[in-house]
Amino acid sequence: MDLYDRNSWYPRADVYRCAGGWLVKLELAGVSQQDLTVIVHGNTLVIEGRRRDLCIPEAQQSLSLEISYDWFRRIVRLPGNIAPESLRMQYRDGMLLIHAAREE
Amino acid sequence: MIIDHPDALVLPVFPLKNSVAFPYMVMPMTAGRARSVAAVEAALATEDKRIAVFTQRDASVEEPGADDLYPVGTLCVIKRMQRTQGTIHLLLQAGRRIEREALLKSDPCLECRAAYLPELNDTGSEVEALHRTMLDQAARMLEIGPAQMQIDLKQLVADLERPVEQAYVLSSVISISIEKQYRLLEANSQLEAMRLIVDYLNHEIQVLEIQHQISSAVSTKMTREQRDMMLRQQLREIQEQLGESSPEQAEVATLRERLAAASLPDAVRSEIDRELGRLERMSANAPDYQTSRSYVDLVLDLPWQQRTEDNLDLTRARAVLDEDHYDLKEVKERIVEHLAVMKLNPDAHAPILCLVGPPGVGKTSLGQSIARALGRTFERMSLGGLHDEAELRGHRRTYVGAMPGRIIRAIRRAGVNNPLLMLDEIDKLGRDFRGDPAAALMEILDPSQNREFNDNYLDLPFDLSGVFFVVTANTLDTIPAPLLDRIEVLRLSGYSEAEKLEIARRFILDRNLQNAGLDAQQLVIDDVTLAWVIRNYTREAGVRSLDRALGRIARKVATRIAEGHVEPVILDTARVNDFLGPPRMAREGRRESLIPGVVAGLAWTESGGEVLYVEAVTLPEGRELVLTGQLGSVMQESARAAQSYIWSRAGDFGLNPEVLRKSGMHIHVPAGATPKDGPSAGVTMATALASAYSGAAIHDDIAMTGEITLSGLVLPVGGIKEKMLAAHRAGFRRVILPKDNEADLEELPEQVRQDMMFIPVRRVDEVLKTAIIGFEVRV
Repeated sequence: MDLYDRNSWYPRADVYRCAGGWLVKLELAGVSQQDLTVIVHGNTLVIEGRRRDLCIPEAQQSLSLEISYDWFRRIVRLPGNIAPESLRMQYRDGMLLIHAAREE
Repeated sequence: MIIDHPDALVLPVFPLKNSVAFPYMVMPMTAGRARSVAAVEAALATEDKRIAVFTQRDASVEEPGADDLYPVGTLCVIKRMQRTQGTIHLLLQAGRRIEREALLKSDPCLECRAAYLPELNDTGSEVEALHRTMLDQAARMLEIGPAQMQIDLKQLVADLERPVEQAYVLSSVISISIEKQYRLLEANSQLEAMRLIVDYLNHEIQVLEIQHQISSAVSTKMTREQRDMMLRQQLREIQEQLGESSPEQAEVATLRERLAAASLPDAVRSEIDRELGRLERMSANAPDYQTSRSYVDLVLDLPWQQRTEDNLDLTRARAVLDEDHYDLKEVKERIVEHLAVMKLNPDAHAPILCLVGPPGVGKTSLGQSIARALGRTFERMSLGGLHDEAELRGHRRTYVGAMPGRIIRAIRRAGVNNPLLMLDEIDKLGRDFRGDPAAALMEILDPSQNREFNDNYLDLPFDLSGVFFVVTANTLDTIPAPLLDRIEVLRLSGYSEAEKLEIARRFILDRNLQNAGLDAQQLVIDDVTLAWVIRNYTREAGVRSLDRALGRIARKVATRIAEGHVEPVILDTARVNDFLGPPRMAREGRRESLIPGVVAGLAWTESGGEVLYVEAVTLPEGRELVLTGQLGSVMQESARAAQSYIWSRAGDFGLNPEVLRKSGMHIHVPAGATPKDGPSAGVTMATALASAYSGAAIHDDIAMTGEITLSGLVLPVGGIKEKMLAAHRAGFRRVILPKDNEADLEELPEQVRQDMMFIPVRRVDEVLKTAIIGFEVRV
């Protein structure tokens, strides 16, 4: 597995324990859903994606830049194996919420 | 791979100076050059903010083209951007390595087509081995490297998993050239990268180790002094930077200039050159610095070749000597002789003269006057009480506070190597455990040795052969014989009353008037009064007391004038009392109408001659001879010899044998507290005894001197001139003296010779017949 490239930035994440599983919340404002991939591998979640600057068509010149763009990859390890089919994703208010159930 | 990258990328190019963008590192960057700014603008205008970073081959190229950039670079994403006037501050996140395939355009910014280079994923035992070596080296660097390196390096390395990334981090921490860093970036396998970094680290560690050794060696030895020195050194560097030369450098430079200007013998010059070299390498607070500096100073000050030309004009020399001193014919003649010799043979040794005489006769001032007559520089030093050889010859420079000896110091003061050097009071040299200065003087005063006089401090031979030495002494008795042997003795005996009068007239009175601020009209002293002062207020061979007495008179007159009494003082004998008090010298003058047994003898002392009365009385009983008056053993023996002689000739002298048999004899010499010694009172004792036994008195105008033998011969004695002067002073008209001393009378002033009658004798009988009234000898 290629772990070494494509992490020009990486999003912050909160992890919660819920009934029968976990909730992982990532700060991923400005990332389109089609640019987002989530992979499950045992107890590991790999969230990859790409943030594009959506304002380019309107902008004449960039005066200041603090938001990171381009590829990111975030790996989150959970305390137990994840049931891959249980994965449920929700994109709300710039946050990506991933619900994962513990593998039986 | 989930997300595919197209292998061909088209990107704006950011040329990088002085660093290499290694993959996965975050780097702050500034874009200032127009093309760099344009490249950044181009990147910012894309959705993903990508830019290709290539390192410049040569940092000094302002507008790099394709050939100026290394072909392998890094794909970076701009994470942060901030603008300040004209420049753009960036935070770049480096990503994968790329290789430039072609430059697409160069305006407004460089743009290239690039392709990803493969990730370095190769492994193997060699990579593993090199990796471990690298980690060991990194650990070693942490131990010895500078502190700021230690803080983050460990953390940085631990965070990374792949060996090559660690290598990238390490290479950016150690100080290696851009070219070497680039070669690491270019490496296409972990193996290659590992080899490079191990090599780099090896070199770095060697350097660090040497640095470490140096700094730890330095820090253990760092004392306070060294710290000061370091600070001073820094100060010096700062001064140099500012274009100011440091004080000690300036000092050495001045000394060098003086060395160049001085005329020195070659040996001395090279010695000083060496010393200056040492001085230059020393810091001013080194303990040796001052020592070394004053040494150089001394050597440069010494007159190695400077000399004065002697003035060989005999007439002028005579005039100068006469002008300064009255009489002293013998000495003046000797000086003139020397001048004559110098005229005929310029290489002649300067003489070493010894002026011997009582205090106050003008020995020191004569020295000055000789110097003036010859045109030489005069330097004087007193040897009185000197008891340390090192005073003359100096201390070795290794001692703290070492100084050159007095001779060298005097030469330095004189500034020429042929001054007239006067060594005063040579008879009062001391001698103790510190050495014998007289022995050192022998070297100095020996013309065959002093060509290479060695002062301990100077440590270079100095030529003293040009120096005209004049030594003075009050007596020759205490001068060691070997030293005496090297010098030419000139005696200055005391002055007669007439001479003193003359000296007072010519020199002393004027000087005292001048000192007191008087002119000749304000104080008038006639010869009679002057003689009165000399006779009643002084008793000396020289003229010092006379000088003081006249000084006192002059000051008192000055006081009167200052108080408003303007009329001039004309001094006569009666008024002297007002100025000097009653006559001081209740001295033993000539006694008149002597009783039997009292005889005037003459003695020689260091302060000139004196009249001593010898008194003899018969004692009613006993036969012993009592001698009192602090008589030395020689004098006591001469009294016994006198008694034996009188007894042996009792019949011839008409003495009553009964008296001789029955009566003891007491001989006393007054001024009982003064020690007396010597054989010259022999005739006086014999006369006193004969007079006491016979009951006949002695002519009161006769004084006598002479040594006797048991068979009745009169032998010559010393100090005739002083004795005759003393007799003359005391008012005696006739003096009995040994026939063999007749020649010494030549030295007497004409005046004295005319005033007195000298009776040279060969035998005691003649003395007795002449001196005792009515004495007859039956033959």
